Amino acid sequence: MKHDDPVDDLLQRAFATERAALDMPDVAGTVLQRMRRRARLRALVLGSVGLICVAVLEMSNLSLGSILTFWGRELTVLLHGDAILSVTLVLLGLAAIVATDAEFA
Amino acid sequence: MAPDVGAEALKDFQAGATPGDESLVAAVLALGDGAAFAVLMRRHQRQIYHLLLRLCRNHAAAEDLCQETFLRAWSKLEHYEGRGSFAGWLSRIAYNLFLQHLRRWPPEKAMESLDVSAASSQAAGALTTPDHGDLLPELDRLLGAVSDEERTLLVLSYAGGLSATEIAAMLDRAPGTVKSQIHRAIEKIREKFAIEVGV
Repeated sequence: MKHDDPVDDLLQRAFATERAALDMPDVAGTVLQRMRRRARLRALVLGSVGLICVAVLEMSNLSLGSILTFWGRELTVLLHGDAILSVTLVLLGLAAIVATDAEFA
Repeated sequence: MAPDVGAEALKDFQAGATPGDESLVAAVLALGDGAAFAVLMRRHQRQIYHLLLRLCRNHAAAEDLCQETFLRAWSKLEHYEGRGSFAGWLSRIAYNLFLQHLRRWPPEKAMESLDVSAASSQAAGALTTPDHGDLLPELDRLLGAVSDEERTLLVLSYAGGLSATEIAAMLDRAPGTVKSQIHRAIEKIREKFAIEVGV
């Protein structure tokens, strides 16, 4: 395309005018909301998987050392993402284990 | 991209400087920074929405595809190699999503092929609804002088901001072919509206 071409200029101006006049929806805002929802869902899934793993480990009668090693790895993975929900679920899972232990002590 | 580049970019961004697209992309990749990505989205959403609206000629479809474009960009950002412009990369994602959209909701059952001309004519045909009041009749008139395929190339070039080389790579064609098609389209408009070449 030549820079001094009137058709090129005309097209550029027409596209620019149209773009400037567009009634823009808040795409960015909606996308950010959807990204947050996806991150929460992922955290929920991860947390649930973590809880199931805890339950399995508990039922397997593993030592406290191996459970802590497992949680160390699990938390390292979770903390890389938006994992507040996951960590909360993990803590709830641990609390449930402690409560269960206390109940049967 | 290196994490220290991302940290530097984020510092600039937080200090109120206006970082370039590359710096923001580096910040997102290094720190998973949603705020930097929001800046990128706000910077490019009008161009991408305009491109999609010109392709789909339907506000709802353009808005949906625009959202999908940015979600896809967020999840695939590590694949952006910084060879072309970030806007061009987004436009490519948008165009591919537009083609997928046509495949999922074909306007006509008997759809033989989905090359650029078919996609364009389907978009200009069955997807056209009265819901495109923002589109300028003058631009419609200019684009009406060219074929569907040429119109798509002009939209990708002028609305999408893609170079002939980027369009050629996207459509798997030789850059020279795309350049000459765009040139031919411009000549058709010139002839139809008797516009003289400036000196």
